[in-house]
Amino acid sequence: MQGYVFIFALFILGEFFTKQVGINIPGSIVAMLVLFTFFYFTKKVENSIEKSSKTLLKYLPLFLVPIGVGIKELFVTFDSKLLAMLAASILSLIIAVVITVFTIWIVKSFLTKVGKKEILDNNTSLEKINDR
Amino acid sequence: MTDNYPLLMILLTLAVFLFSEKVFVRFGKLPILNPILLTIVLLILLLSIFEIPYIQYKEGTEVFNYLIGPAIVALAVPLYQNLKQVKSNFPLVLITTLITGVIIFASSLWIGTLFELPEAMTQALSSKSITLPIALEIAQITDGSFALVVIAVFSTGLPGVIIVPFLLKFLQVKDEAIQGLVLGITAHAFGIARALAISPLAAAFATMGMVIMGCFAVVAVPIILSLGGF
Repeated sequence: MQGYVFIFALFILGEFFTKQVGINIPGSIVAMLVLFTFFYFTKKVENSIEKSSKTLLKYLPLFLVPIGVGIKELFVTFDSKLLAMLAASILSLIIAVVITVFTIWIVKSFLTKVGKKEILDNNTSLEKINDR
Repeated sequence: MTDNYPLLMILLTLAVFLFSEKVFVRFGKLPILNPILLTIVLLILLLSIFEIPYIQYKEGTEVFNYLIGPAIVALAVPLYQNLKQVKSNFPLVLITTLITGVIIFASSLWIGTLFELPEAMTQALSSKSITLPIALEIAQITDGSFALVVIAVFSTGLPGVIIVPFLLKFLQVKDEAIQGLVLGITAHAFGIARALAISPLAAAFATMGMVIMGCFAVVAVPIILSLGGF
């Protein structure tokens, strides 16, 4: 239960913060990054938070169903453009995969050239985190 | 008639979801039988058969909407836990996701324009590689259509389960971690599910890719949209 209280409170604070500051970023994302930062510095995930978030994520697909059913409204007036949209979607998926693979290759060779020492340092510091 | 039973829509959703999950498991987790997709299709059929207007269904299931935000917050847990697995490769994951993110968001917009799609559809395409809950948040910010975003996201994730591994094989990508990262960046939650079939390490990279992609998108997509004149 504590986990839910914490997550819900953080979410509401995130929404409140983004509204007050007037930035156009979802409060949920801000809250998620705050929580991530919290884990990063405390170096552990509280048991209750882990349990609650597992449950929330398990049922996330269910939470999305009502919005998904909203596509019903699109089929009321059938639009032939919908098929074109599907085609565009698949084409850009193929392009996205090719671009991603090439970018990984380029970034990888760049990183091994530039930052061998840096990556090693990073590695050891992360291993320390794991040991705790 | 159905107005008198406020819990009816929630009961209906839960029952159909439970049934869909059973069907999904029963048929060996075929991607096309994805439980959310199946639930949505079955509910659309049921609402049509019983002539229940969508607006009434939506009002009855409002509570589910409220839980999407907290579930996004909960993504911090897998993000942190997978960070340990990704370790020294984190710079690679971060830089790649940011670069490909910009290209993917912009190229989907461009392809939408190329296909001469209506503005709302092209706009929805820009968030097609983002996990649905975050894509919906972006639609809220940018006044996009929720329904079209759902279609854009599903029409990427579902074929992604088949197309992405095929392309990875074609491009001779053998590293499991990289396979996972590509799956997560391009096919969000569907990609993670597919990466799980490769190895837990691949799934960790896929999760990192998907979550970073989503966080970055909430900033980048609105900017790209406004630059593109949407």
